[in-house]
Amino acid sequence: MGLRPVRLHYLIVPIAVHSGRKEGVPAGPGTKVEGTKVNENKKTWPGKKTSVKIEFAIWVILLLFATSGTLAWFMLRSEKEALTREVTRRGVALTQYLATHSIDPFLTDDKLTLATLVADVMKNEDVVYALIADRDGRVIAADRSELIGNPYRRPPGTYPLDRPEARTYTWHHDAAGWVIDIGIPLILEERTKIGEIHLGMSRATINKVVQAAWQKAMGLSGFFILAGLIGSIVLVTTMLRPVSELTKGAKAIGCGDFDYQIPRMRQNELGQLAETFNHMTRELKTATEQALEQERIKKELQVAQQIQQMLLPKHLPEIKGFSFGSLYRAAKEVGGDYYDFFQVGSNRLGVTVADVCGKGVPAGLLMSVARSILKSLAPNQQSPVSVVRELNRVLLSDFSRGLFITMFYAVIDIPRRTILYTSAGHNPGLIYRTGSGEYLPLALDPPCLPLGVDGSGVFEHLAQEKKVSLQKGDVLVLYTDGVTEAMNEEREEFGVERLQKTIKQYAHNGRNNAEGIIHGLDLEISRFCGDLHQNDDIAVVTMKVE
Amino acid sequence: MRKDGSITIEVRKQDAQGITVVDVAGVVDTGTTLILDEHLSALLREERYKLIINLAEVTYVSSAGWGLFISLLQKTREQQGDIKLVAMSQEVRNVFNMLAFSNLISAYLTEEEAVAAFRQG
Repeated sequence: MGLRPVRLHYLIVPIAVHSGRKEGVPAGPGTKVEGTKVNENKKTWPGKKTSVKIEFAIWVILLLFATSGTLAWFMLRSEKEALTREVTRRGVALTQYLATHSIDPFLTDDKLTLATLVADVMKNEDVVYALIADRDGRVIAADRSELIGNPYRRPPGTYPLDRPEARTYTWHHDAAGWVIDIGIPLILEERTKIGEIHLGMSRATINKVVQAAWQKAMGLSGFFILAGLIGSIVLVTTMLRPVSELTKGAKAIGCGDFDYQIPRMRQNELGQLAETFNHMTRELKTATEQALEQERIKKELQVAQQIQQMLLPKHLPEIKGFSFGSLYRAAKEVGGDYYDFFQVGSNRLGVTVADVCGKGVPAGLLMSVARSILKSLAPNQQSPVSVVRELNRVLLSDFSRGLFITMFYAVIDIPRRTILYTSAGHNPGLIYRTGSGEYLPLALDPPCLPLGVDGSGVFEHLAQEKKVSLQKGDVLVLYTDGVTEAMNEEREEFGVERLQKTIKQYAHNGRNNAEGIIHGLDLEISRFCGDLHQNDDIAVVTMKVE
Repeated sequence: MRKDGSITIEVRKQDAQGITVVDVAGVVDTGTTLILDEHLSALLREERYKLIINLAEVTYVSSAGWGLFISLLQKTREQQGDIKLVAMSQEVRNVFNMLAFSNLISAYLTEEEAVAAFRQG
C-alpha cells in the first residue's frame, strides 16, 4: 500500500488524547468492584469486636485488592491505549490508502473503481464501514449500497471536516457497537477540499483482548488475595503466639504463680517483651518474698518482744519498809538491757541491772541465756561475787568472741538493811541520801571486766563485792548506759549529773517513793530527748528505804 | 556532746615488721562498728596481726565497738599479734576504765609508745 507519510505525521497526535480520555470510563469496573468491597468491609468494622487475626487479614486483603486493582487498571488502560493506537494507525493507513486511490476515480466519477476500493478496504475484518462523500456530504461510494446518494450522516457528536486534517472519533454504532471513526478530507492539489472519506474501525478486537487480559488479571489478583489471606493468617498466628504466651503468663501471675516463666522466643520486640516480662516476674517474686519475709520477721520480732517482756518482772517487789520502781525502754523491738528482782534465801532480795553489748534480737537472746543462769544460781547464793564469777565461767563457754554483758548485781539484806553489791564492768550504781542530799557511788575499785570476755583468771581476781549500810530515805538507783547516753537533738547526752539532779528533784526531800521518782526520771528523759529516736535501750531500777 | 553515725577510717602505716596503724575518726556506734569491722577484718586476712588503732579523733565507742576490739584482741593474739589502742579521748577512756579493759587491751598515750611496745615484743 502506498502511503503518504506527510499525512500520518499529524494524524496520530490527537488520537491518544481522545482515546485516553474517553476510554478511561469503561475501564472502570475494577474500581467499582473495589469500591463496593470497601463499603462492605466498612460496615462490619466499628460494631463488633474482632480479633487481631481477622483485622489483620482484612487489612491485608484490602491492601492486596487495592494494589492489584490499581495495578491491573493501569496496565489494562495502557494496554487498551496501545491497542487503540494500533487499530487507529491501521485505520488511518487504510483511510489514507482509500484517499490516495480515490482522488482520480472521484474526479472522473468512476463509481465502480470507488466501489472496488471500498470493497477492498472492507476486506479488513476490523473495518465496520467505509464511505466516500462529496463536498456537499452526499455519499457516492459506501460499503452499503443503500447509503449511496443520500447525505452522509455523521456519527453523533462529530464535527465538520472544515480543515485539511484527519480526525478520529469513537462513537457507538447501532450495529457494530463502539467504533473508531476516521475521517479524512479529499484534498485536490493540497488546497481544495472536494469530498471526505470515513472509515469505521471496530473496537471489538480491542475489547476482546482487554477483556481477556482483564479476566487474567482478575484471576491473578484472586490468587494473590487468597495467597495473601492464607499468608496473613499464618503470619499473624505465628506472630501472635508470643502474645498468647504473654497472656497466659499474665494470667498465671494474676493467680499468684510467680514461678511462671514464658518460654524463650525469637529475639524480636515480642521476645524482648517476654524477657522483660520474665524479669518482672522474678523481681515481683523477690519483692513478694521480701515483703513476706519482712512481715514474718516483724511478727517474730513481736513474739520476741512479748517473750522478753515476759522475762522482765511483771510485778515490783512488795517488801515492808521499801518501795521499788522500774523503767524499761527498748530501742528496737527487742532490747539487750535487763533488770530483775528475785528472792535470795529467806530474807534477802537480789536486784540486778545488766546490759548486753549490742542491741536487737542477738542481744535479747544472750540476755535470756544470762537471765536463766542467773535465776538458777542466785537464789541459793548470798554472795553476789560468787554468782557473777560463776556466771562468767558459764557464759564464757557459750559466748562467741566479741560479746559481753555488763552487770550490776546487789543482794539486799532486808532485816539488816545492808547492800552487798558487785559490778562486772557496769555503770556505777548510786545511792542518794535524802537526809544529807549527797550521793554515794557504788563501784568497785579497781573496776571489774564485763562477763564473757576473760577466762584466764583476771575476771576472778577483779570481781569483788562491797557492802554498804542503808539509811532511812536512801534511794538506790541502778541504770544502764542508755540513760546517761540518751541524746537530745543538740546531740547532748543526758549524763550522770542530770541523772543525779533529776533523782534529787523528784525525791522531794524524801516525800516521793521509788515509783514516783522513776516516773519523774522517765518524764525528764522524754522531755530531754524530745522526738529524737534513741539508739540504745534504757533500763532503770530504783529502791527507796522508807 | 558527740556526733552520730559517721566514721572515717584510714590505714596509714604498714611497716616491714607487720605493724599496721589504723586511724579512726568519728563515732564507733552500732552502725559504724560494722564498717570498722570490715576494714580490720581485711587487715587480718592480709595476715597483719599487729594493729595499732589510733582513737585520737574518736568521740564515742559503743559496747558493740568495744566488743569488736575484744574479738580482734583474741584473733590477733592467736596469731602472736596484738591490738593496741592509742590516744583515747577522756570520754572514751572513762568507758574503757569502767569496763576494766586495761586488764586485757594495751593502751598508750602516743603511737610511738605503741610501736615501741610492739618492737620490744
